[in-house]
Amino acid sequence: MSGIRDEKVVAGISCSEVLARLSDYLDGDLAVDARRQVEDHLRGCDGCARFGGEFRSTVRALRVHLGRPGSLPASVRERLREALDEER
Amino acid sequence: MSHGAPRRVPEIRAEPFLAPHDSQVKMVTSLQPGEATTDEALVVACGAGDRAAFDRLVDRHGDALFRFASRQCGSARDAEDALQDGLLAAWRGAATFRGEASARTWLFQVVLHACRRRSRRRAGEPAFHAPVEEAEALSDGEAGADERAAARQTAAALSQALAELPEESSEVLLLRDVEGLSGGEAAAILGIGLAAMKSRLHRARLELKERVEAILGHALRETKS
Repeated sequence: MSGIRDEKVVAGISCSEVLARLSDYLDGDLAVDARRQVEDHLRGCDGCARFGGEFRSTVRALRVHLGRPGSLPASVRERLREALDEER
Repeated sequence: MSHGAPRRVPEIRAEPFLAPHDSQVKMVTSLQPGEATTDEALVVACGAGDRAAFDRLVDRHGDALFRFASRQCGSARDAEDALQDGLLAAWRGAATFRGEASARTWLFQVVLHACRRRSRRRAGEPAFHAPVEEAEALSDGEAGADERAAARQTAAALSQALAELPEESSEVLLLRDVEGLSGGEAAAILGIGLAAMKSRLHRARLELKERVEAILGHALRETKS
Protein backbone atom coordinates (compact mmCIF):
# COMPACT_ATOMS: atom_id res chain seq x y z
CA MET A 1 0.00 0.00 0.00
CA SER A 2 1.06 3.56 -0.66
CA GLY A 3 3.90 4.84 1.49
CA ILE A 4 4.74 1.64 3.38
CA ARG A 5 7.88 0.04 2.02
CA ASP A 6 9.00 -2.33 4.75
CA GLU A 7 5.97 -3.89 6.34
CA LYS A 8 6.59 -4.86 9.94
CA VAL A 9 4.80 -5.41 13.20
CA VAL A 10 5.57 -3.01 16.05
CA ALA A 11 3.62 -2.85 19.30
CA GLY A 12 1.44 -5.68 18.10
CA ILE A 13 0.16 -3.86 15.02
CA SER A 14 1.37 -3.91 11.43
CA CYS A 15 2.32 -0.93 9.29
CA SER A 16 -0.67 -1.58 7.01
CA GLU A 17 -3.04 -1.56 9.97
CA VAL A 18 -1.57 1.72 11.17
CA LEU A 19 -1.92 3.21 7.71
CA ALA A 20 -5.57 2.15 7.61
CA ARG A 21 -6.20 3.91 10.93
CA LEU A 22 -4.36 7.15 10.26
CA SER A 23 -7.47 9.19 9.53
CA ASP A 24 -9.31 7.89 12.57
CA TYR A 25 -6.20 8.62 14.62
CA LEU A 26 -5.90 12.12 13.24
CA ASP A 27 -9.62 12.82 13.75
CA GLY A 28 -9.60 11.52 17.32
CA ASP A 29 -11.98 8.70 16.45
CA LEU A 30 -9.95 5.83 17.91
CA ALA A 31 -10.73 4.26 21.26
CA VAL A 32 -8.09 4.83 23.93
CA ASP A 33 -6.47 1.41 23.55
CA ALA A 34 -6.36 1.58 19.77
CA ARG A 35 -4.93 5.08 19.92
CA ARG A 36 -2.21 4.00 22.33
CA GLN A 37 -1.33 1.05 20.10
CA VAL A 38 -0.97 3.31 17.05
CA GLU A 39 1.19 5.74 19.02
CA ASP A 40 3.42 2.93 20.27
CA HIS A 41 3.83 1.73 16.70
CA LEU A 42 4.68 5.23 15.47
CA ARG A 43 7.31 5.60 18.18
CA GLY A 44 8.95 2.37 17.10
CA CYS A 45 8.64 2.64 13.32
CA ASP A 46 10.47 5.44 11.53
CA GLY A 47 8.74 4.77 8.20
CA CYS A 48 5.25 5.09 9.63
CA ALA A 49 6.22 8.07 11.77
CA ARG A 50 7.48 9.90 8.69
CA PHE A 51 4.50 8.90 6.56
CA GLY A 52 2.06 9.82 9.33
CA GLY A 53 3.66 13.24 9.74
CA GLU A 54 3.42 13.95 6.03
CA PHE A 55 -0.17 12.72 5.99
CA ARG A 56 -1.11 15.04 8.85
CA SER A 57 0.69 17.94 7.20
CA THR A 58 -1.20 17.44 3.96
CA VAL A 59 -4.57 17.34 5.73
CA ARG A 60 -3.76 20.43 7.80
CA ALA A 61 -2.49 22.27 4.75
CA LEU A 62 -5.93 22.02 3.17
CA ARG A 63 -7.45 24.04 5.97
CA VAL A 64 -4.53 26.45 6.26
CA HIS A 65 -4.19 27.22 2.55
CA LEU A 66 -7.66 26.70 1.10
CA GLY A 67 -9.99 27.30 4.03
CA ARG A 68 -9.37 31.00 4.22
CA PRO A 69 -12.31 33.33 4.58
CA GLY A 70 -13.81 34.31 1.25
CA SER A 71 -16.70 36.54 0.43
CA LEU A 72 -19.79 35.82 -1.55
CA PRO A 73 -19.46 38.18 -4.54
CA ALA A 74 -21.91 41.06 -4.58
CA SER A 75 -22.82 40.06 -8.14
CA VAL A 76 -24.13 36.70 -6.89
CA ARG A 77 -26.26 38.40 -4.26
CA GLU A 78 -27.61 40.80 -6.84
CA ARG A 79 -28.52 38.05 -9.31
CA LEU A 80 -30.15 36.10 -6.51
CA ARG A 81 -32.20 39.11 -5.50
CA GLU A 82 -33.34 39.63 -9.09
CA ALA A 83 -34.23 35.96 -9.46
CA LEU A 84 -36.27 36.03 -6.26
CA ASP A 85 -38.07 39.15 -7.43
CA GLU A 86 -39.02 37.30 -10.60
CA GLU A 87 -40.50 34.48 -8.57
CA ARG A 88 -43.06 36.72 -6.96
CA MET B 1 -17.67 39.78 -12.10
CA SER B 2 -20.56 41.07 -14.12
CA HIS B 3 -22.84 38.76 -16.00
CA GLY B 4 -25.13 41.28 -17.62
CA ALA B 5 -28.81 40.42 -17.65
CA PRO B 6 -29.90 37.77 -15.18
CA ARG B 7 -30.13 34.32 -16.68
CA ARG B 8 -32.98 31.92 -16.32
CA VAL B 9 -32.13 29.55 -13.55
CA PRO B 10 -32.84 25.86 -14.05
CA GLU B 11 -35.21 24.31 -11.61
CA ILE B 12 -33.50 22.35 -8.86
CA ARG B 13 -35.64 20.88 -6.17
CA ALA B 14 -34.36 20.81 -2.65
CA GLU B 15 -34.82 17.43 -1.01
CA PRO B 16 -37.70 17.61 1.42
CA PHE B 17 -36.95 16.93 5.02
CA LEU B 18 -38.84 14.13 6.65
CA ALA B 19 -39.77 14.96 10.14
CA PRO B 20 -39.67 12.47 12.94
CA HIS B 21 -39.36 15.35 15.37
CA ASP B 22 -41.62 18.08 14.09
CA SER B 23 -41.75 19.67 17.47
CA GLN B 24 -38.02 20.40 17.34
CA VAL B 25 -38.57 23.15 14.83
CA LYS B 26 -40.26 26.19 16.19
CA MET B 27 -42.75 27.40 13.66
CA VAL B 28 -41.73 30.93 12.82
CA THR B 29 -43.45 32.70 10.01
CA SER B 30 -41.98 36.17 10.39
CA LEU B 31 -38.98 37.53 12.19
CA GLN B 32 -38.19 40.89 13.66
CA PRO B 33 -35.11 42.63 12.25
CA GLY B 34 -32.03 41.79 14.30
CA GLU B 35 -33.82 39.11 16.25
CA ALA B 36 -31.42 36.36 17.31
CA THR B 37 -32.70 33.11 15.96
CA THR B 38 -31.57 29.72 14.80
CA ASP B 39 -30.81 28.78 11.22
CA GLU B 40 -33.64 26.29 11.36
CA ALA B 41 -36.15 28.96 12.36
CA LEU B 42 -34.89 31.13 9.53
CA VAL B 43 -35.49 28.34 7.03
CA VAL B 44 -39.01 27.87 8.33
CA ALA B 45 -39.57 31.62 7.97
CA CYS B 46 -38.26 31.39 4.40
CA GLY B 47 -40.85 28.72 3.77
CA ALA B 48 -43.48 31.26 4.75
CA GLY B 49 -42.05 33.73 2.20
CA ASP B 50 -39.88 35.84 4.51
CA ARG B 51 -37.18 37.32 2.25
CA ALA B 52 -35.40 39.00 5.17
CA ALA B 53 -34.96 35.61 6.80
CA PHE B 54 -33.47 34.32 3.56
CA ASP B 55 -31.04 37.24 3.44
CA ARG B 56 -29.94 36.41 6.96
CA LEU B 57 -29.33 32.79 6.03
CA VAL B 58 -27.25 33.89 3.07
CA ASP B 59 -25.37 36.30 5.35
CA ARG B 60 -24.53 33.44 7.67
CA HIS B 61 -23.62 30.75 5.18
CA GLY B 62 -23.10 32.40 1.81
CA ASP B 63 -19.34 32.76 2.16
CA ALA B 64 -18.76 29.11 3.10
CA LEU B 65 -21.15 27.89 0.42
CA PHE B 66 -19.45 30.04 -2.18
CA ARG B 67 -16.01 28.82 -1.12
CA PHE B 68 -17.24 25.24 -1.40
CA ALA B 69 -18.85 25.82 -4.81
CA SER B 70 -15.74 27.60 -6.09
CA ARG B 71 -13.59 24.58 -5.33
CA GLN B 72 -16.09 22.02 -6.49
CA CYS B 73 -17.22 23.48 -9.80
CA GLY B 74 -15.41 23.47 -13.08
CA SER B 75 -15.06 27.25 -13.33
CA ALA B 76 -15.61 30.43 -11.37
CA ARG B 77 -18.62 31.19 -13.54
CA ASP B 78 -20.08 27.74 -12.86
CA ALA B 79 -19.51 28.21 -9.15
CA GLU B 80 -21.56 31.39 -9.17
CA ASP B 81 -24.28 29.76 -11.26
CA ALA B 82 -24.34 26.64 -9.09
CA LEU B 83 -24.61 28.71 -5.95
CA GLN B 84 -27.48 30.68 -7.38
CA ASP B 85 -29.21 27.48 -8.51
CA GLY B 86 -28.72 25.96 -5.08
CA LEU B 87 -29.87 28.96 -3.09
CA LEU B 88 -32.94 29.39 -5.25
CA ALA B 89 -33.71 25.70 -4.76
CA ALA B 90 -33.36 26.22 -1.02
CA TRP B 91 -35.77 29.15 -1.15
CA ARG B 92 -38.31 27.16 -3.16
CA GLY B 93 -37.94 24.09 -0.96
CA ALA B 94 -37.84 25.85 2.40
CA ALA B 95 -41.50 25.11 3.05
CA THR B 96 -40.65 21.40 3.17
CA PHE B 97 -38.03 21.90 5.87
CA ARG B 98 -38.84 20.02 9.06
CA GLY B 99 -35.49 20.03 10.79
CA GLU B 100 -34.34 16.44 10.58
CA ALA B 101 -30.83 17.71 9.89
CA SER B 102 -29.38 21.15 10.46
CA ALA B 103 -30.16 23.99 8.10
CA ARG B 104 -26.45 24.28 7.28
CA THR B 105 -26.34 20.62 6.27
CA TRP B 106 -29.39 21.13 4.09
CA LEU B 107 -27.92 24.20 2.39
CA PHE B 108 -24.67 22.39 1.64
CA GLN B 109 -26.67 19.46 0.25
CA VAL B 110 -28.61 21.67 -2.10
CA VAL B 111 -25.49 23.50 -3.30
CA LEU B 112 -23.61 20.21 -3.68
CA HIS B 113 -26.34 18.89 -5.97
CA ALA B 114 -26.24 22.08 -7.99
CA CYS B 115 -22.45 21.77 -8.33
CA ARG B 116 -22.78 18.16 -9.47
CA ARG B 117 -25.26 19.16 -12.14
CA ARG B 118 -22.94 21.87 -13.42
CA SER B 119 -19.93 19.54 -13.31
CA ARG B 120 -21.75 16.88 -15.32
CA ARG B 121 -22.42 19.39 -18.04
CA ARG B 122 -18.72 20.19 -18.12
CA ALA B 123 -17.58 16.55 -18.16
CA GLY B 124 -14.67 16.08 -20.53
CA GLU B 125 -13.45 19.65 -20.27
CA PRO B 126 -10.02 20.27 -18.71
CA ALA B 127 -9.97 20.33 -14.93
CA PHE B 128 -10.08 23.80 -13.45
CA HIS B 129 -8.29 24.79 -10.34
CA ALA B 130 -8.92 28.01 -8.57
CA PRO B 131 -6.37 30.77 -8.73
CA VAL B 132 -4.11 30.97 -5.78
CA GLU B 133 -4.70 34.46 -4.56
CA GLU B 134 -5.93 32.96 -1.32
CA ALA B 135 -2.37 31.96 -0.75
CA GLU B 136 -1.35 35.54 -0.61
CA ALA B 137 -2.37 33.89 2.49
CA LEU B 138 -0.32 33.42 5.51
CA SER B 139 -1.10 37.06 5.37
CA ASP B 140 0.50 37.81 8.63
CA GLY B 141 2.81 40.53 7.49
CA GLU B 142 5.76 38.91 9.21
CA ALA B 143 6.02 36.14 6.65
CA GLY B 144 9.08 36.59 4.50
CA ALA B 145 9.17 36.52 0.72
CA ASP B 146 10.38 32.91 0.67
CA GLU B 147 7.63 31.84 3.03
CA ARG B 148 4.97 33.58 0.94
CA ALA B 149 6.29 32.01 -2.23
CA ALA B 150 6.25 28.58 -0.59
CA ALA B 151 2.69 29.17 0.60
CA ARG B 152 1.58 30.11 -2.90
CA GLN B 153 3.24 27.02 -4.31
CA THR B 154 1.61 24.76 -1.71
CA ALA B 155 -1.83 26.30 -2.25
CA ALA B 156 -1.47 25.93 -6.01
CA ALA B 157 -0.46 22.28 -5.65
CA LEU B 158 -3.37 21.56 -3.32
CA SER B 159 -5.82 23.27 -5.68
CA GLN B 160 -4.50 21.37 -8.67
CA ALA B 161 -4.53 18.05 -6.85
CA LEU B 162 -8.09 18.61 -5.63
CA ALA B 163 -9.24 19.46 -9.14
CA GLU B 164 -7.70 16.27 -10.48
CA LEU B 165 -9.28 13.99 -7.88
CA PRO B 166 -12.53 12.14 -8.56
CA GLU B 167 -15.57 14.20 -7.60
CA GLU B 168 -16.47 12.05 -4.60
CA SER B 169 -12.96 12.47 -3.20
CA SER B 170 -12.81 16.23 -3.61
CA GLU B 171 -16.30 16.62 -2.15
CA VAL B 172 -15.49 14.86 1.09
CA LEU B 173 -12.14 16.66 1.45
CA LEU B 174 -13.75 20.04 0.93
CA LEU B 175 -16.48 19.37 3.47
CA ARG B 176 -14.31 17.83 6.19
CA ASP B 177 -10.83 19.24 5.77
CA VAL B 178 -11.41 22.61 4.13
CA GLU B 179 -14.76 23.68 5.61
CA GLY B 180 -14.20 21.76 8.83
CA LEU B 181 -17.69 20.25 9.01
CA SER B 182 -18.20 17.36 11.42
CA GLY B 183 -18.17 13.77 10.22
CA GLY B 184 -21.91 13.52 10.79
CA GLU B 185 -22.61 16.67 8.81
CA ALA B 186 -20.40 15.59 5.92
CA ALA B 187 -22.03 12.16 5.83
CA ALA B 188 -25.51 13.69 5.81
CA ILE B 189 -24.62 16.16 3.05
CA LEU B 190 -23.16 13.38 0.91
CA GLY B 191 -26.11 11.12 1.63
CA ILE B 192 -23.99 8.25 2.94
CA GLY B 193 -23.44 6.62 6.32
CA LEU B 194 -20.77 7.79 8.73
CA ALA B 195 -18.60 4.68 8.22
CA ALA B 196 -18.74 5.07 4.43
CA MET B 197 -17.86 8.75 4.74
CA LYS B 198 -14.83 7.94 6.92
CA SER B 199 -13.65 5.31 4.48
CA ARG B 200 -14.08 7.69 1.54
CA LEU B 201 -12.29 10.46 3.43
CA HIS B 202 -9.31 8.28 4.26
CA ARG B 203 -8.92 7.15 0.66
CA ALA B 204 -9.26 10.74 -0.53
CA ARG B 205 -6.58 11.98 1.88
CA LEU B 206 -4.16 9.30 0.69
CA GLU B 207 -4.89 10.17 -2.94
CA LEU B 208 -4.40 13.85 -2.24
CA LYS B 209 -1.09 13.27 -0.48
CA GLU B 210 0.20 11.25 -3.40
CA ARG B 211 -0.87 13.82 -5.97
CA VAL B 212 0.50 16.77 -4.07
CA GLU B 213 3.84 15.03 -3.77
CA ALA B 214 3.87 14.29 -7.48
CA ILE B 215 3.15 17.95 -8.23
CA LEU B 216 5.63 19.44 -5.77
CA GLY B 217 8.26 16.74 -6.03
CA HIS B 218 8.32 16.37 -2.24
CA ALA B 219 6.01 15.68 0.69
CA LEU B 220 4.49 18.49 2.71
CA ARG B 221 6.03 19.16 6.07
CA GLU B 222 4.37 20.82 9.02
CA THR B 223 2.76 24.16 8.21
CA LYS B 224 1.85 26.76 10.72
CA SER B 225 -1.81 26.82 11.54
